[in-house]
Amino acid sequence: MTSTEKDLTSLVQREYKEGFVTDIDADTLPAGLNEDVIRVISAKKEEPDFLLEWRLESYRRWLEMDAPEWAHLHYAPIDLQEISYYSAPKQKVLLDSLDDVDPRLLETYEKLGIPIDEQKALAGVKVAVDAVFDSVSVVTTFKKTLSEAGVIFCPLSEAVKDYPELVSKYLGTVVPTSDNYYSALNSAVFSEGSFVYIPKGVRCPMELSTYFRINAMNTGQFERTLIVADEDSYVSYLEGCTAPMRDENQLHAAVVELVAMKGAEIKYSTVQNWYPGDENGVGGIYNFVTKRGVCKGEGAKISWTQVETGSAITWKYPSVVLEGDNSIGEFYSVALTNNCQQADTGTKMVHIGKNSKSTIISKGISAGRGQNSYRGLVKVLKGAENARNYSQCDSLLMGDKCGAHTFPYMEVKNPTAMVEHEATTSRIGEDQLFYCRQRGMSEEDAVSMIVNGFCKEVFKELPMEFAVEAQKLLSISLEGSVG
Amino acid sequence: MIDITEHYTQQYHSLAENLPGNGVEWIKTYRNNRLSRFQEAGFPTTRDEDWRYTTVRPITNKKFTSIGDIQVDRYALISSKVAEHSVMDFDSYQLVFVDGVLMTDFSELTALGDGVQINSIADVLRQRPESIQTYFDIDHAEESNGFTELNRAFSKDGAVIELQAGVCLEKPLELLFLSFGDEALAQSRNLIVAHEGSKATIIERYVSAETGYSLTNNLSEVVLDKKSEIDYYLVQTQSRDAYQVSGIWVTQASDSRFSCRTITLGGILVRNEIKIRMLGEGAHCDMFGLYSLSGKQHVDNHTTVVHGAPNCTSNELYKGVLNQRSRGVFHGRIKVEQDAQKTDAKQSNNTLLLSRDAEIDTKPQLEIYADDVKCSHGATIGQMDEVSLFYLRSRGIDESDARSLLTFAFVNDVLREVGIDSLKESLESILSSQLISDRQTV
Repeated sequence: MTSTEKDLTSLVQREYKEGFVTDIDADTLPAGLNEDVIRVISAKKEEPDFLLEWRLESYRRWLEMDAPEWAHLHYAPIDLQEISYYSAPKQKVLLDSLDDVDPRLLETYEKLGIPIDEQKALAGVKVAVDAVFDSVSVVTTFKKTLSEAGVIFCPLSEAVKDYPELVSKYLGTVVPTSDNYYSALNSAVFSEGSFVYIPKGVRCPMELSTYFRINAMNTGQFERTLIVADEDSYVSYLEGCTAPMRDENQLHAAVVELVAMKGAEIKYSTVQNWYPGDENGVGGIYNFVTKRGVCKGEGAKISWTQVETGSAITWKYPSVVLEGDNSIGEFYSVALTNNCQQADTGTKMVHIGKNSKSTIISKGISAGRGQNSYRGLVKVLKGAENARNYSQCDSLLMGDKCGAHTFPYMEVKNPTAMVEHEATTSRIGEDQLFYCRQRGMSEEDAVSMIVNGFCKEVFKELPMEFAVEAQKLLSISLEGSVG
Repeated sequence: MIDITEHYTQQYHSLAENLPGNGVEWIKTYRNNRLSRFQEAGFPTTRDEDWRYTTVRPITNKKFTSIGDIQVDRYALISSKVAEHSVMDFDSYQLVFVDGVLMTDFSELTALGDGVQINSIADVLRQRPESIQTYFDIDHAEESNGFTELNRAFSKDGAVIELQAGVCLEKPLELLFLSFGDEALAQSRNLIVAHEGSKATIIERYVSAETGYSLTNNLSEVVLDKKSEIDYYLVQTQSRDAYQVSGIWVTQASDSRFSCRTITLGGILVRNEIKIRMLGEGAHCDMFGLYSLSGKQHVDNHTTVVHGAPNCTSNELYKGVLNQRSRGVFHGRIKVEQDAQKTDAKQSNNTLLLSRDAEIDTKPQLEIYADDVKCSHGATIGQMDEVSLFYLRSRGIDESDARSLLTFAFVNDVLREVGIDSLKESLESILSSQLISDRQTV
């Protein structure tokens, strides 16, 4: 090992700075899952009957399903009876303003750098935040400004009560309850999430953001997000997540559904930084997420951008069903696996409408003993005249114990379709490194620069503040993996 | 499905006594083990990831039967069929198989000189089975499926070709497989061993002597020792009622070169599995494939390249033209193992989708466990370039000719890799007559 390598290796021992635990009174259900648990969750949330029925139906379907094993991931089976399905900070009354929120909760978000204090946020960039702590939404900011524009942005549990007809119309239409094992589980036990509705012709006045935090022990987080963009509307939605450092694995099984009507555009960005486990692969979040959007009307557009640096295991395929003619689907992804992290992520683009277009840009970075897989499906159905897809999947390898894998599927049934897929795998070129070092850059800086260059196509799709955060996150997650 | 497995099991039991080498204990055990694996696995279904785009139901719906010995009274017919199906001006050594049985009377087994031994695997198993035991010991468990187990359980015949060190075969060696229909199950198992520094060109060519359903379930194992070179061809021009599952399993030692061209123009349901494992440093392999399909043809090309040692290179290019209701499947897998540093692997699959009812499913796949590598794959699916078409038409070439020209240009990247002129010309003429007839029936 050269001296530079040693210097760099020492850097890897950087701590996961979001790994603290907030000591707060919580109302947590005992571990285990059965119909009664579901009834209790539903009762606690004071949900209408239709939702309870829907949950129970999902649960019964889930009982008949098996956990998927096709992904390129290795982990011990998860005992779902050992998880608590509901945990909420104890709070007696409904909150009217930020002042009523438990200061320890505010502190938590302060530490995480999440702007839930509207006064402070006003000074900087305007982002409306829905902060979710374990199973409940703690606070949603800028509600007033949003409601003036007609935008609904609130926790799903509130939406169920306030806008039951909207929720029941769209919930489960994109990801049906029986879609897969984890989505069925989520449908049965989901506790929180955000609901967004953008009315016709409205351009959402600010970025919307949800911040997820797992705090309690032995809990799983099962949030469910539903975003509906009515005709010719536009919304940009950001999602971030962290969890404390723990030795056990915690499960996060979320479902996100997007509906874009005629001419609407939804831009969904994720910076996923769940606790990845330590360098020996102990602990960390199991991130099993189902995300899917439907471009329902003509010219609708859905764009997924994700930066995945956390989680012990990532199993996630944000997809777009391109139903409308001239609709557009995009997927931009940076996935990083360091230490013992494993990721099996990618997308599905299903072309149904004429002239539908999709773009897939996936950048995988493997370091340490990380295993990174891209898995994607591009499907062109018979009626999708002139469908067009371009996919590019590049992998960067750092270290001789990591792995990078690509599993693209292409199924084309229309002769006017054009589908292209390109993938490359390589490590950082010696010549590139030499060039930078020759010009006086340290090896660390050079690698960071090259990696950022490698990811640029994806970062440029992120909203400004997120892009900065993503770049920082990437360089931190990578520290010490050069050599 | 249960009774089709039973059908073949019964066939095995009724044949077992007469299978070559049956008296030898290890061969018997080997066969029995393979049969029980076959019974366990059954035939693959679309639920198996490796078979998700190919249903073998047309095969399992029929009951194919292994044929008995070939009687001398058929020799005249066989002889005329061999002449009819030989490639014009193709100067080669020839081995003839009829429904999977090596016809020693029609084959040149001794004309090749001392450096090359060619025997029927049945004879070898009867006379000196120990000489090929090591090759039977290679397990391949991970790669096997119902078809390969079936082949290994009761293939009756095949060729064992052994090239001594340093031997260079001047003329290509052609293995001509004739199928006579009649729901015959043709299963041959071939073994090709190239010792250090040897060199040869080997062609597997499949034709239908008569129409009628047939199932060919072949397995060829090719072992390349250091610095040996094998040029391999798999040419399929059977009739539209031939089913085929073909395996070519290759292991390469250091500095060896293996080059394979798979040309599929015939058959109704064809699955080709080419698995190459490079286990020695500095080995190289090329794989070229061409499939031009129409009617209801279904062709599934499944390739695997394992880079198991440092400094190996591989290059793969498959091109397909799909007409009418045909369906093409391509699955290319490149696996780079942890110590296989300095790997250079390329893979590409291009498909021309020419009909509204045709379908292509392609799945290129990279699995990389080493870091100092250069790997890439690409896949494109599209149609004829309208601008090129317009260019040609503006110069007075009619549309039909222009389309033919462009299709030929598209597949030429693979065709030009056919290094034997007479074979190439024959393939070109089959291809062009197919393209013309496809257009007439559109």
